[in-house]
Amino acid sequence: MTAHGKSWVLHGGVLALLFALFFVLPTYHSGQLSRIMVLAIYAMGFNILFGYTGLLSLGHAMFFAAGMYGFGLTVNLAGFPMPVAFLFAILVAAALALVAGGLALRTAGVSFMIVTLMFAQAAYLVVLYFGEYTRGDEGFVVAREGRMIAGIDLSTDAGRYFCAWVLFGVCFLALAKLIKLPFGKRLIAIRENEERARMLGYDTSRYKLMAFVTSGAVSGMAGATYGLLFGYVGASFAAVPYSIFPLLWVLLGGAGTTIGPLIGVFFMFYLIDISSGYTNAYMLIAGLVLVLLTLFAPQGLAGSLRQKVMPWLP
Amino acid sequence: MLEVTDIHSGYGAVKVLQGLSFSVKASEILCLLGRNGAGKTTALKSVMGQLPITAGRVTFKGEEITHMAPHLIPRQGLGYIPQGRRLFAELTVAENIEMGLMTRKQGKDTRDWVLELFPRLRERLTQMAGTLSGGEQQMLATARALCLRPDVLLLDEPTEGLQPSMIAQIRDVILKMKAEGYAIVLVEQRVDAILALADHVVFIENGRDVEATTVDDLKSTPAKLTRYLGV
Repeated sequence: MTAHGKSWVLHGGVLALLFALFFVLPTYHSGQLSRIMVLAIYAMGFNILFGYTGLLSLGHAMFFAAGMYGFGLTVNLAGFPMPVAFLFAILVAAALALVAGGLALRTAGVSFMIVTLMFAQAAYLVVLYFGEYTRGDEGFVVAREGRMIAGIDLSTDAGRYFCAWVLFGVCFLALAKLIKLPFGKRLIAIRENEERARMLGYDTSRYKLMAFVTSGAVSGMAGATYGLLFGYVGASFAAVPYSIFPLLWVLLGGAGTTIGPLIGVFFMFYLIDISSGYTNAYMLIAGLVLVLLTLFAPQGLAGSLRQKVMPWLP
Repeated sequence: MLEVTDIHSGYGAVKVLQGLSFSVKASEILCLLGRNGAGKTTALKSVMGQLPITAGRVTFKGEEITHMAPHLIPRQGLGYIPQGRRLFAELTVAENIEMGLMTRKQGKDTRDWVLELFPRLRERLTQMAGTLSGGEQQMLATARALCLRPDVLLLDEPTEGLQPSMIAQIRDVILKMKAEGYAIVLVEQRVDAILALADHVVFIENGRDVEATTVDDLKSTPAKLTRYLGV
């Protein structure tokens, strides 16, 4: 079988497995898996910029939060129907990414990280400042009518799980396709050697901005999905930890791999879930495991698999 | 075809080129010669827009390209193969070639043509570029630049660190390019390569051209090599 064929079998197999798991897992775990799939969308968005284009943003929480608030506020305050609010939220995140990317991409390296971090902090402060609407730290609950589509209640276990599955599947397959398109190849070329890409005639600034906007839009979609499926919108999702989490997930799972984000989120979730059952110092265990993984699988779990046994892994 | 007139350029406050001129025509190989640090690589980078030119001008086919955006210069028809190859290591050989084909919308004909020039690459199409040998990487770097179908090719030490059989192959390709009408600007340290390939040479000292001559003249007066290069 060709590498292309193997790749599609893998992607199809992962989606089929996730679909089937709902019917065999206890409710607690299927609920966890719903959350994992939504956050894996966020990690995939981050991976477009970090894993494929080689740009490390420390401010992606602003896009996640833009999607989440863009959805929640338009449902609660403007009474938008769910699909309209959802699309609006993605557009808000994309627009924010266009502005932030347009400015941040004038810098590079550490300066780029700091500028993106500052943007995210500004976004976080905006959320707190407009507490009258956003309810600040406390957050708010998304109106129930905004969590229905075609008579299906997305706040039920099954509704939530399969909505997360569909959206995750769309992003998962779209990302696998994207990296095979000329656009994806150009992003990888920029990551590998931006100067060479430019010397082949590519306007690398434009492609980096396109990657930034795509990444922001996907992260915003993840935020909107979180608000839609879990019904809560809060300022903690705009804070610094939510900019660091996708970096950890992607590093653990494998930067620049399509399946890495899912593996990273899954691994982190269950590592904390299981270790917290044994000790209150579960973050210490998580930290230790992260150090070990960094030492023995520096390419991340999927990255190491690709390096050692599955060179075709996209 | 390519004319560089009295250019000044460098790295920030460090001025490397301080009035360099040279020109190259179709079906001609021009070699830039000079000791380490003379400004040979800086000259190529400045022509390609990688370094800002603070004075002087560069014209290509009669059109000024001195301050053109760097990504637009290759699209005009200038191909550049830098020192150290710099491939996209995580892309396959086929994908590296594809990257070269896309900007000037070259098709299968060009792809077949470069693979005929470098048949070894055809056997490695699905291999990651980062896993190729040094010689194969140089072939791929050259093939990728040729995919743009440039009129002028700038080559920075193309045989550096290669084994003799690879050097011979690379030289054959350079001569084929010349025969097909390409103008070539070559930076090379190996005297045997210079004498075998070049038509003209320009000696560079402290960022300035100090003498322009032909290879035939150089063969008859080898003292010039001693004088400018210390060999």
